[in-house]
Amino acid sequence: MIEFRNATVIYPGGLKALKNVSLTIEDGEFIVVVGLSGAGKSTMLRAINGLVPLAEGSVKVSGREVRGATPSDLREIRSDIGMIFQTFNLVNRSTVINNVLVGRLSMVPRWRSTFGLWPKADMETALQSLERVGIIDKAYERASNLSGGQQQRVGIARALAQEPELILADEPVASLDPVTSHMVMRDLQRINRELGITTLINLHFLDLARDYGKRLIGLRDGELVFDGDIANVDEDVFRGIYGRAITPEDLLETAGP
Amino acid sequence: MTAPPEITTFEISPTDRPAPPPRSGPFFVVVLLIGLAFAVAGVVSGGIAVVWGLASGVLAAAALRWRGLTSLPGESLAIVFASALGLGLSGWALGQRGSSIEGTTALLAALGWLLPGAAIGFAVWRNSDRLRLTSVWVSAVGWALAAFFVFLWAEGLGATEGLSRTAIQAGEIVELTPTFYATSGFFVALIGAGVTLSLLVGSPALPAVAGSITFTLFAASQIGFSVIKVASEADKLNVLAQEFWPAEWKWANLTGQPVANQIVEPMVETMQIAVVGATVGCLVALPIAFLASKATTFNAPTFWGSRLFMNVIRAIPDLFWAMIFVSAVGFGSPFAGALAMIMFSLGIMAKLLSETVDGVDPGPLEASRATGAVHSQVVQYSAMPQVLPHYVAYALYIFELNIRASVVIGIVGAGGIGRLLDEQRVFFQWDRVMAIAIVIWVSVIVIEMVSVTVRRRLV
Repeated sequence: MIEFRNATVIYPGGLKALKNVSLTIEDGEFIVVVGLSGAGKSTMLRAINGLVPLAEGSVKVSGREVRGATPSDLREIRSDIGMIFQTFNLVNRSTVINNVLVGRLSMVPRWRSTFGLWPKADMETALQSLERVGIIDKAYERASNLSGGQQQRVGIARALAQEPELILADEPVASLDPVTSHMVMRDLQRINRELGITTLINLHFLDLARDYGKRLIGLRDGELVFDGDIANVDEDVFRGIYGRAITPEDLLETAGP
Repeated sequence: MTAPPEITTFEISPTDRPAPPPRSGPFFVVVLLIGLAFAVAGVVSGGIAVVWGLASGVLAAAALRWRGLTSLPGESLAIVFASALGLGLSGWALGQRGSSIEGTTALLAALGWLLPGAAIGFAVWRNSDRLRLTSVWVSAVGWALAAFFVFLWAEGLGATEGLSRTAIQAGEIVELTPTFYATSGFFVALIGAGVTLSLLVGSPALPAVAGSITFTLFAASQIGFSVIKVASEADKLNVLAQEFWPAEWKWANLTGQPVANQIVEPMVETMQIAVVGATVGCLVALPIAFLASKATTFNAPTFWGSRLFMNVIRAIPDLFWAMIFVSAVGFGSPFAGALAMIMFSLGIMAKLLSETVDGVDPGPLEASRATGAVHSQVVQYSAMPQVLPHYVAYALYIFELNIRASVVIGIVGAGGIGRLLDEQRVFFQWDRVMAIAIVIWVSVIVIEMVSVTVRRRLV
C-alpha cells in the first residue's frame, strides 16, 4: 500500500513540482497517471522511491516512511520497487543478462557483485525474468543490438528481477511505435495480473490509458485534479486535466509518428 | 471519434524572415584597418604625440565611415578630436617617465586612451540598435586596458631603443620614436577596436584573435625568434649532417672490452620503465577518476579532494618527477624512471578518464540506484561498462607517451636509453647519437602503429 499525505516536492530553484498530493494506492492495483508534460507525473513516481526528496508531507510504502529515511532504509525500500524508464536506461555496452542482474544488486553480498560471482538462485531469478517477457534468447547479446521494444522488455525484466511489490513505469512507451507500445503495455498488464504486482504507469496517450488502465490519476501543475475510475473520464474531466479539448495528438491511434 | 486536424499553411515571404545575426569575419577587416591607422599615423607623426593622435583619428574615422559604422560628420570629428587629445595626453605622460616605463606611468598614459575608445564606442553605439549605452564604457575601458598592458611590456617595442643598458640605469630619457608609436599604437588599437566591435557582434572572437596576435608577436620579439635567422643558418645543417652520418652501431663500452651493440639493452630497459609506469599509473588512476567526476563521486569532499590530488600530480612535469625520484632512489636507476612514469601516467589517465565519466549516460545510473544498489555497485555496474573501452584506449595511448617521455627522463638520470643518449651526446659522438636516435624512432613508430590499430577497434 502506498500513502501520499500532503506530499509536496520543491526542486532546487523553487519550482513546486508536486503540491499537497494525498491519495492511497492499494496492493495489486493497476493505475495510470496522466497529465501534460511538466504536470508532475515523473516527480510523483520518483517521490515514491525517494529519487526525488519530499519538501513537505509524507509518502509511505508498505508502512515505511520514505521522507527522511536513512540511506540504508531507503535502499531497503527501493529494493522492493522496480522502475521502468522512457529511455530504457540500459547499459548499452553490457549484455542483456548483466543489465537484468542489476535488479539483483541489492540482494547479494557486496563482494559477490564486485567479482561478478552471482549466486545460482539470483542468476535463476534473472533468467526467469527474461523468460517472463519472452526474450530469453537474447540473454547474452549486447543490449545495444536489440530493438527499442526488446530493450524496454529488458528494462521490465530488470524490474522483475527485483521480485518487487510495486512497479513504477515512467512513460514506458513514449519512445516506441504504436504496435510495440501495445505489446509493452500488454506485458505490464499481464505481469500485474499474474504476479499481483502493484503497477503505476505514467502515460501520455489517453486511449492507451483507457485501453489498459482501471484507475486514472490526473495531475495538472503538480496538483491532483482527478482520481477515479477510468470509465468516468469524459470531455469535462479531460478538460480539467489538460486545460483544453482532446486533440488527435493526445491519442496514440491518431498522433503523428 | 475526433475531426481530423486542420492543415496549417505557412506563407513564403522573403520580407518576413529574421535578419541573420552579425558575423565576426567582416568586422575583422575594420579592426585590422583601425590597427593599421594607428600604426601608419605613428610612422608619419615624427615622434610628436598630438600629430600621431590626429592622423590616427582621421584614418580610423575614415575606416569606420567606409564600413558604414558611423554616419554623421560630427561623429568622425569627435573621433579625430578625442584621439588627438587622448594620444597627446598619453604621449605627455610617457614623456614624464624615468628610465623605463613603470606601472604608474603606463597607467597614466593608458588613461589618455579612454578618449578615443569612448569616442569610437559612442559613434558605433549611435549607429547600432543592438548596443546599450554601457558599451561606450566597455569600449573606453577596453582601449585603456589594452594601452596599459602594451605600455607596461613596451620594452621590446623600441621604447628605449638606441639607449644602452648603462645609459638607462643612469636615468637618461630619450624621445619616444615613431617606431614606438607605430608598434604600440597598432597593438592597442587592434585590441581596443576588437573589444568595441565585438560588442556589436556579440561574440568575443574579435578581441581574442587580436589579443593572441599581439601576444604572439610580443613573445616572439622577447625570445628573439626570427625567421631570417633560421634561414641564414641553414648551411650549418650540412656540417652537422656529415658528423651524424654514417651512424655507428657498435662500439666498445670500455677500452679493452669487445666491440658490441650497446643500444638494444637500454632500449629494452626504457620499454620496461614505460610498461611498469603505464600499468601501475593507470590502475591507480581508475578509482581516482571516478571520485573526481560529479557523476560518480561520493560527496563534495571526495570530489574536491581527488580533483586537487589529480591537479597537483598533473601540474608537476614528468622531468621534474624524474629529478625528484632520481635524487631519492639514486642516479641512473630505472626504478626512479618507473616511479616518475607512474606519476606521469596517473596524472594523464585520471584527467582523461574523469572527463569521460562526466559524459556518461546518467540514465543507467539512475536505474541501478532505483533498484536499491549501493553507490559502489551503481558505479561498477552502470558507469564502468560505459567507459571501459575508453579506459583501455587511453592506457595504450599513455603507454605510447611513456615510451617517448622515458627517453627524455633518462637524460636526468632515470635510466634507460635516455641516459645512453646523453652520455654519447656529451662526448660529441654524433654518429652514435644517430644510431640511438634511429633505434628510438623505429621503436616509437612500431609501438604507435600497434597501439593505433588496437585502439581503433576498441572505441
